[in-house]
Amino acid sequence: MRLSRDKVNVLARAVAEVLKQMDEVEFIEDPNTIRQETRKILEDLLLQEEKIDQAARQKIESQKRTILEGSQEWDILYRKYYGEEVKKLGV
Amino acid sequence: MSTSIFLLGILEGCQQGDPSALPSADRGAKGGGVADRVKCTLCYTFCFKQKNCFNKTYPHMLFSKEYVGYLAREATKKLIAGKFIETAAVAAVTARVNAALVDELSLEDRINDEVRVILEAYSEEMRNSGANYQEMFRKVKGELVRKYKAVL
Repeated sequence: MRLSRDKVNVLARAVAEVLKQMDEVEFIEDPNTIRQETRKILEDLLLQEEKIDQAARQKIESQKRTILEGSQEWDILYRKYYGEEVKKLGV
Repeated sequence: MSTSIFLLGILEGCQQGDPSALPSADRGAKGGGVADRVKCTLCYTFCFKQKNCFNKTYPHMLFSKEYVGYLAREATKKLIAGKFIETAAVAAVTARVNAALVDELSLEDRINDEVRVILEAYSEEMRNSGANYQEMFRKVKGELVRKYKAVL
């Protein structure tokens, strides 16, 4: 996963906080359980994202010539292939 | 003047937002410029929402905005499906969750922007003293991260 555990916790807390502030949202579980569940959901999704990142990198590595990471060409290809992989999720 | 003395001056100005906190050399700057510039530009990292920056793109953000949107939709959907929350306004909830995620995920970009603004205010003094930009960037960024208690 490309985010630290601490950062995922911060994200989960931010989401739980936003939900708590909304009148349109009714909490069925207590806020802490919702925060923990949000963390789990985000962790699962971010593991999936790691596969997207790896697939995009793999595509670049499979090119005939070597493309150096950090070069402009690498960045362009990475964005292109990453976008293609994201589209497969129906995004 | 060494990089560390510069850093001290910048951070004193940053934390207190007070021209008198700046080193004497800066106080004498033409038109009081440095102090005023720093005062005007500091601490906008957490003014993100007020500045209505959600339309701004952060090219260095780890995930694309499409992917963050997907994260928000999925997280909201799963919380509802798992009966953790109930709502009739799914779209509005998703939008708020998305905004919260973008806010957190773009935090490093905003801190970087703030460091650049601070160092820009001191560019002339840094050039004159031969202070190392990269070193200053790293140190000022570290201080801002500590100041905001940010998790990057």
